[in-house]
Amino acid sequence: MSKILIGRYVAGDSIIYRMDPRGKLLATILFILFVFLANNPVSYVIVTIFSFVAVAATKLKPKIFWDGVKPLIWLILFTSFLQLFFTVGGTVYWQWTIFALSSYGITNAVFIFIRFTVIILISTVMTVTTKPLEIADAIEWLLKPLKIVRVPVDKIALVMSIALRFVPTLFDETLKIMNAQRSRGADFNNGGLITRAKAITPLLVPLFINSLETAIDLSTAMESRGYRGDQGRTKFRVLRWSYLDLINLAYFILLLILLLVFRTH
Amino acid sequence: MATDSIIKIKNVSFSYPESDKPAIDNISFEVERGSWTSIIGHNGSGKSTIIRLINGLLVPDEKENSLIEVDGIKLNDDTVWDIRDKVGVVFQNPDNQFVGATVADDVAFGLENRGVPHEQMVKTVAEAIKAVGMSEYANSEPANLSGGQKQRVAIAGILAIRPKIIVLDEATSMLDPEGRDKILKIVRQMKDEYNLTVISITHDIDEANMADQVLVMNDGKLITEGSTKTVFSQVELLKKLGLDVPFFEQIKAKLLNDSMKIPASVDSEKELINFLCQLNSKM
Amino acid sequence: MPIKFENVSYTYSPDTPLAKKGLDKVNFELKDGTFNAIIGHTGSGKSTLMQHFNALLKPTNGQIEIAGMTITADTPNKNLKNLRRHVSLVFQFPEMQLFENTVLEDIAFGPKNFGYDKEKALTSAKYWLKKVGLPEEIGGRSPFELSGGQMRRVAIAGVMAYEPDILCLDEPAAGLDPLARKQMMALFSEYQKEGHTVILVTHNMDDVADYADNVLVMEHGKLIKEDSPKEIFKDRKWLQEHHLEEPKSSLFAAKLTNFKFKKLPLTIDELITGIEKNLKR
Repeated sequence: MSKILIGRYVAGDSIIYRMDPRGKLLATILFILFVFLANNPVSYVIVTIFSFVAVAATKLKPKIFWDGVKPLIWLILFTSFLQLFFTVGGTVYWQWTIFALSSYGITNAVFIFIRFTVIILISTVMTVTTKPLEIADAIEWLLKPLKIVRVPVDKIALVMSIALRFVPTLFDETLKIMNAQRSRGADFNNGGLITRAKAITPLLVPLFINSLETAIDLSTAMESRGYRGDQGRTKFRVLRWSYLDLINLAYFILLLILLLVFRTH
Repeated sequence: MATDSIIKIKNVSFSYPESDKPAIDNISFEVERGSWTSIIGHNGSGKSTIIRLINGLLVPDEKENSLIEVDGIKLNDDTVWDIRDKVGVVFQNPDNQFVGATVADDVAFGLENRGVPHEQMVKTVAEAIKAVGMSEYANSEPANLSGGQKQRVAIAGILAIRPKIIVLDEATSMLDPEGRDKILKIVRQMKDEYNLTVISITHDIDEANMADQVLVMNDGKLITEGSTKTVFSQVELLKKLGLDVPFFEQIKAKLLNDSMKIPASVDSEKELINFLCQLNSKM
Repeated sequence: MPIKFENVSYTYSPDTPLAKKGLDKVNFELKDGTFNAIIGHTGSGKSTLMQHFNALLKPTNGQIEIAGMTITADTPNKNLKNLRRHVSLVFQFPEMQLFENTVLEDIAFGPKNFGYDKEKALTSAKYWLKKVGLPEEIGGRSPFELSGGQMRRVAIAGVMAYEPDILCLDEPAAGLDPLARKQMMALFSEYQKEGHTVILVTHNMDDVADYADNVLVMEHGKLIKEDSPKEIFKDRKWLQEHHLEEPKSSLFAAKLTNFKFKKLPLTIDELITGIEKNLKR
């Protein structure tokens, strides 16, 4: 259950898993930008093919990606429907008051549908093949330029990594406290909104107190293990670029070139 | 008392700001290099406070004649980080001292703090993890480890720093007997291998009995100190303080109470067993 | 009414790749008013078993008869409050469940949930505060100002204050100092002698020897033995095979190689009597 909370990493092995998280994060961001270059059927086909190749390269079951799309399917369909009935232009096939079904509407709806879906697919490729901690490392790398303007990037990174590390612990603790209060007759599932909001106090107070205690213990332990801020700290976990990341880069540059060539100018 | 003292505490007191009673009340003792010292006392007797004073997490009350010295270095604002290089503490709660996202990351934490170069760090981390028998878990996340395993990781994190002193601050109290035995075995091994000085704060009488020297605390005061034999034979005193005594001492006390004659030289479990067996064969 | 487990199995996250057997066809019956100990290694299923007593977990297969109710996989969550009124659980480190403004209010939380009126809940809270060995004046203080040991006592008082017929405890004395440990165990033993059923999950074999009438030994989710402490601790070879510890007294007795004990001493008093008998022959 804790997996739901800390991202959706799925253990596996394929070249995508072995790529550097920084490259994957960057590629995902670039892809999202590139998608907006597509503006005609050929370019949308290219984008679709590129994302499906990426999905296939993970060597994971299609269901995992379907799970990624599923929660957003209504949003995608709703947006597509809006496009379908509210776009004007081209041949009009059908009209009723403000609703109209036009050729432009149909293409726009299909485009929007594809755009949404491929963005979700590519983000899913990253989140299922990259551990949350690696994503945090990649974010830290992306934020590095902010050091110039005195943003404490290293501290933020440490906080992110500790937060991630304590998610499962907190989750366990929540469960334990809930069980303990249930044993004392607390009821978390029945009653109206107000009753339920009240019922949650016996859960929230201990959780808060325990987290505070954990934080105090942790800071004591960190200090006693020699933590004194960022000065002169080295890093154990270093990310290394490899030829795989060149492949990653080349793949998305190829996509960019194709899109630039085939889009309608 | 000790010839080569690695820790010297003299006339140290400590009061928490909002309290009018000192948590540590004018305590003095020394710890011999390479020895094992147990500190016992009921909850709130000031045992853990002492440790926090030794590595500078707490600052003692200002007094002219007060002194804390670790491995020849006098503790003050300038030396506190040097002293923390020499003293590694394993705390009570396995979860609340696990900083890293994985076992290897956690063991590396102390090295990162000290700016150790990456190449050397990788090597040291692997060695330390191996020393506590956790190699196959190097990339595991804490959520998938037992309490005992987490404490082994904590020990590895300390070993990686090569300290002179390792402190177990009730480090085994949240573990099951198996986890506890494993931790104590590892500490014993590491002590012999690296000539470490061990200080263990504990309620567990068997753990306390592993020591060369025992300090008994009550209400912030040092009540008595000495070898395990001298301290644990004071059955009445320990009982009065609400503390455990080794099992053989309990038996001995009860037999003495039933007016059996046991010579004073019988001061270990082995000797008591031998004595009783001999007595029985004479019957 | 006895507690009856019939073929109880429990699977964690069933029908997933992570599925794990927590309990495997467990059968037993616990008599009313007895002191029962559940022993076994970490991960042997003790805690899983315990959470079945008040239906925090419901069996995947099999059924449980407890406090006049029958619990199966299909038992709805609605009526469980009545069960929990009669069967209460004290988890490891129960001090983490404290949340109220004052100690007394926290102890009264359970009684109020189970239908005590305000005044009666408070009376009961005061009574149990004293019973767990805490001074009266602590009652008005915040539980978070107390020491760890005192918080533990408050938490335990909070579970006993509605006087459940069946009290289940998971390592209630873990981390306590020896004196506090003894006081807690004496409290549970007294509670049992007043006619309640006590179920203790523990690693401490001396507590098992000192207090239990009946011992359940768990391993890999299975109940591998159920007997009196005397019978359980008699078979040293079996204990060693299953990596279980022995009570200090029987261990010591075993080292007295030329002594003959008519019955295996489990407690220190039995050991002393046994030694003296041998020597008086």
